[in-house]
Amino acid sequence: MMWDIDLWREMDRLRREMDGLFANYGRVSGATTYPLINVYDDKDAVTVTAELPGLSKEQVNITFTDGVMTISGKVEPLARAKNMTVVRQERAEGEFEKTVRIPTKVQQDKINASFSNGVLTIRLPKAEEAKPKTIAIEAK
Amino acid sequence: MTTELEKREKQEVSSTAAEQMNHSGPAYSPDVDIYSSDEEVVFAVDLPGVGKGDVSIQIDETNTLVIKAKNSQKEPEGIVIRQYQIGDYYRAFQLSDDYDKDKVSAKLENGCLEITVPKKEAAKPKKIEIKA
Repeated sequence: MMWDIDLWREMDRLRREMDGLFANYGRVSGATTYPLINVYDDKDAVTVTAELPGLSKEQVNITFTDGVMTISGKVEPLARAKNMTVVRQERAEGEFEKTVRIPTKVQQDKINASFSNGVLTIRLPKAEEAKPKTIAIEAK
Repeated sequence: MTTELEKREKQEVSSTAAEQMNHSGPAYSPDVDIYSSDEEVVFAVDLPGVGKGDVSIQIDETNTLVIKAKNSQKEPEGIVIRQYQIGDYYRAFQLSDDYDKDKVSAKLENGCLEITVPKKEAAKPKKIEIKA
């Protein structure tokens, strides 16, 4: 059956694609380490987003050293719940630190971060030499 | 070296619950803390990506508290690592008859929703004076 072969080929292609992706972005601290992040890579910039609900921008620190970006801070317990009985606790609480290695050269002075509805977005513009180039073919 | 703060993967809610959202795409179960006192019960609900006006909180006739929220997070192009999914949120809790569903209050700040449900006067503990 045709689709059989195509399916395997497709799976193999996907697997190789995934291996390639994670080889570059290999050094992210664990997939279960708070906060969870997504990383996006387009031709102009690498964008990292993190879900940090309940935190304000003053409670989050971002550093970038030698191609490694670190997001750290502390999730404070709910102040008004101090004298209340805990019935259920699922939300993360305490100090956190998460690192992501950025595999492309970025313009360090142009990194910018914004915080909206508990989602942190860090945009790291690529250095000119890291951007893809289109090479024109000259006619002879 | 401190131990790493853990965060579990987002849990997708059942399709029936997601259908109630009147919305395509999967819905996720937000992380919730619940605190109680003699006076009230407080729900802290993590809703990253949700803005004011995109949350609905309802308590029906069977005392079920239903939280629905629309995620307006815009996703950039070219995903290379995905540790969390982006989707709407749905969660429901059963309240006892002791709570006053007409006096529910809620506030949303930085993607965290705080819902306060006070106890009915009759359900609050009474302090009994001991007479000499």
